Amino acid sequence: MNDDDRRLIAECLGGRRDAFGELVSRYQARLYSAAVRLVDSPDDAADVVQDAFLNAYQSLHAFKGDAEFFTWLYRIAFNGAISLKRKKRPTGSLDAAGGEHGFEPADPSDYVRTGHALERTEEDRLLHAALGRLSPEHREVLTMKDLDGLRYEEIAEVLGVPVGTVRSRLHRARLELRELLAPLDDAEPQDRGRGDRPPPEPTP
Amino acid sequence: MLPDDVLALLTAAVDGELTPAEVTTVRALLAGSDEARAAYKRLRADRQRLRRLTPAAPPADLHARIMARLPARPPVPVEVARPSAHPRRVSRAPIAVAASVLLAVTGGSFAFFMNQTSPTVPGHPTIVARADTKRDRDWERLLPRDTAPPPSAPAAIEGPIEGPVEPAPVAVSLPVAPEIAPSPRPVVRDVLTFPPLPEVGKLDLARVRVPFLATVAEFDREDVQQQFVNELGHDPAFRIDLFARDPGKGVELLQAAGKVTGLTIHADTMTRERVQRKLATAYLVYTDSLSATDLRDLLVRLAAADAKAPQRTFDAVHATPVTQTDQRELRDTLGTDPGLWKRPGTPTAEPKNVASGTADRIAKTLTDPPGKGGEKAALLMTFAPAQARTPPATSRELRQFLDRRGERRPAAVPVLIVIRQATG
Repeated sequence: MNDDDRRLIAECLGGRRDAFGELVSRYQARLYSAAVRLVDSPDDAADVVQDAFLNAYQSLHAFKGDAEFFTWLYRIAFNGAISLKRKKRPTGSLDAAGGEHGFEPADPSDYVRTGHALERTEEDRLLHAALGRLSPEHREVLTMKDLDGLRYEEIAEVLGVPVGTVRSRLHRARLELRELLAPLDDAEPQDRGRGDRPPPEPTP
Repeated sequence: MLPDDVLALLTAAVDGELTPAEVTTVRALLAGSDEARAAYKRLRADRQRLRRLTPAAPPADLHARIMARLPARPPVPVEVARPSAHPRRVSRAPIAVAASVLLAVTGGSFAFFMNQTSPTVPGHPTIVARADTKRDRDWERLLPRDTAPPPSAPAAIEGPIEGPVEPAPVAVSLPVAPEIAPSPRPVVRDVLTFPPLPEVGKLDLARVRVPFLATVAEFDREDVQQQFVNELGHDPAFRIDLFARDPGKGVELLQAAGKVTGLTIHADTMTRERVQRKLATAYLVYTDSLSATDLRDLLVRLAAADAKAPQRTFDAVHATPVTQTDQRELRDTLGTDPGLWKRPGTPTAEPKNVASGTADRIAKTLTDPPGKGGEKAALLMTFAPAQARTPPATSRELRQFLDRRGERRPAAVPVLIVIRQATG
């Protein structure tokens, strides 16, 4: 845990309420961005974030500090989002079940729907469509890693699975995403010339 | 196509989660393989694409909403208050004495067992302290001489021991006598040792009564005859079904058997014609002048007569107590109710004087001479089909039968013998 978070938590536990306000300011955008991908609507995401911060505040004395504060907060929000999705699961319609459908993304969230994506760039829309076609497990680890910036250990802690599982799941997710994005790359001839440049060095 | 383990290394490199050893491997891989380099470049580009996605902005009032719902102070763990000491002062002297005694016993036991020499098993070296004379002399010089008793001896307890002291038992010489084993302890039934058993009520034996079922041919056996007689003793009136391949022939055989046993069967004229012309499918022979043994003899004779024929006419015999339906059928056939369930000769409980029955008996003797009602008589009528039955008012034989019926004998069993077509 970084020193700033540690100091703010200590001050909050000491009775300084504004210290927790600084933690909220620091992490609310990142947490909200993750919550939007976990639940079905921006309103639900705001509720999930709000409940996560309130729960964290109530349990702040139990936070040991052996993990990042954001990881701990993320885990609270993740569990809240899962609970919310379970409550909202029975929303199917018998009429819709018998109709004919074209392609539908695996994830019905707003952020993968076409209407929602119209406000974004074309590349955003294509990427969201590709993400929506990933299996939920693969999309989950991929967004946690690339969009939420969690490490293997943090993802494993949030999901409650071994680190090796996270690594193999991410490996499959990247290959699956690559297959989905390959036709898009073929349609962009301007990118073909860049393949000759040496890639950046891998970092541990 | 790159192998999967190479791709796994490349994706981990894209994730930035390689170990130092893996970094070296991946660097060598990228330096030596164009395909690996191209794959790594594409995977890394995908990651950068994802990271460039526009993040969803939180609502502007989210911070204010969160802060508005925060309580004034974060909750702190509540320490459970320890219960205050009891105000009553408790003396610790007995506890201290008990602890001292326990410590002395424990220490003595420990020293005793430590002094026991353990045998050394060959092949299993035992770690023992080796004597070092120089070291021991040094320690003897530095340490005061040990004047304490050996560890195995009980330690002396200073000071008096509070509390009652049990007197030592006094040895009493008793006369030697053979020991007698104590008597067994009485078994005390209580809730813990004997769970309550449910009360078992009296068992009711359900006696299932099976209708009598045999063949006419079996009436040459005594056990079947006895079974038949026993069955007839269970109810006041019975219906006996005789299944015949030819009911008309069966009627003739029954009439012949009846003649042998002294039973006169009065046949209705129209029924007699139907027997000859084989128009009916079932005939009824009613009698209330035969006892169970008479009926047995009748069937024995019938079986014997049937056995003499080149082909048997009768098949099965069913004997079942009469039902309301049977009584209704008989009443319709005879035109009157013969009183199937009426008990013959039942003495009345009311005392009668001599004069009350004298006039009736004289009148009966004059109108119904003795011996007339003692005849073993039966009546043969058409039974089925129902529309072929003789109307009771038109049958002279029926009227004669009813007129000649006397007082039913006490052992008589009214029976409806139905000779019917065997279908089997």
